[in-house]
Amino acid sequence: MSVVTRQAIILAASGLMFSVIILVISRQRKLSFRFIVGWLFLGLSIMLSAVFVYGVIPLSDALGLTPATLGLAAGVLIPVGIAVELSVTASRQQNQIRHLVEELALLDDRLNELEKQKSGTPP
Amino acid sequence: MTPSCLVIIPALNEELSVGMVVRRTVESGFACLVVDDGSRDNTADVARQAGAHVVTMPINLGIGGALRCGFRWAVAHGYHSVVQCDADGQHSPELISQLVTTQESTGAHLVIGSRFLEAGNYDVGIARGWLMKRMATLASRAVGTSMTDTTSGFRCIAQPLLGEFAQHYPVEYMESFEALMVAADAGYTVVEVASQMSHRIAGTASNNPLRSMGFTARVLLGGFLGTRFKIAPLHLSA
Repeated sequence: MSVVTRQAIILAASGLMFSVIILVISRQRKLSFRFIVGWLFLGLSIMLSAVFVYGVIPLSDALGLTPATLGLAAGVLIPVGIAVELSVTASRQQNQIRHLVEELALLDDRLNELEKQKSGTPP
Repeated sequence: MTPSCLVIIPALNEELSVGMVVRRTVESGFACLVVDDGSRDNTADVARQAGAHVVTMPINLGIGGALRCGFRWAVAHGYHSVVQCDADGQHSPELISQLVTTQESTGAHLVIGSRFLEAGNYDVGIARGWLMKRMATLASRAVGTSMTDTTSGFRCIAQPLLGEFAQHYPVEYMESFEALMVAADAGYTVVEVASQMSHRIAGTASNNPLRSMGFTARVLLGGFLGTRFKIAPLHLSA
């Protein structure tokens, strides 16, 4: 078995295993739909890259890179993209939490006032 | 009768000083709201007993978050203006009426109590002083008149700017400079009035110098990168 074929098998197996893990986690309702779609897309991409592994050498030659550098660049860029997307999500949720905390404090205050009025105590 | 001015005091673990500040504020004739920003001590009870209305945040949001919550409370209760005042005793409650009178006589939307407009007893370090001067230069350019104290937390905010700040206000420390720049850029009137301040009477400051430097870098970079929060320009606000 050639080195390239072994790489293709490893990639396909890794992609399949990754996708199965994502499916298991998602069935436990630990991931929201948009993240399920994103991670499954990544798993499928890894599986499909097994098919294209034979094209890596011509592609790396065309770009003037070694196949290892090309693989490394793809391996770094994908997690970086995901990290940026997660940062955007975290920032938005941070803002939403702050608004909710303020809203909760104000509602708690209103509730206290209403309870005082109901019990006849001056606010 | 429509309520006119509310004094908002954000407080975090200030049980030793907040009672005195609230009592002096109430004695000066102002309604007083203390926003307890997730204190672990008896700040809320002490403030309530001293005569303040208290809103308690379930978790600590930081000075900006506490202030925005206070602004929202003031708008919901029909106040025309608010004065924000520290809970640590640095701002003299007796000077609140000075800010309010200036706001009413000038019609300004933001009145800042400046520590440096007249010679006072408030000293800052060399590095901090240099930084504050640079920020004052930037603010003077934005406001159109000379500004001396852009980070003062002793300020009066009137409608319609109050309504804008109730919706959009920076939640992190050093929010005072950012809010001033955003208000000036949106066309609201900003004026300064001399106001002496002293050092805190109890407790410890919630930020160390390193964190303060980080927050300063954030607000200064925000101007260059255009990442500051935005409010409706004066001519479009309600």
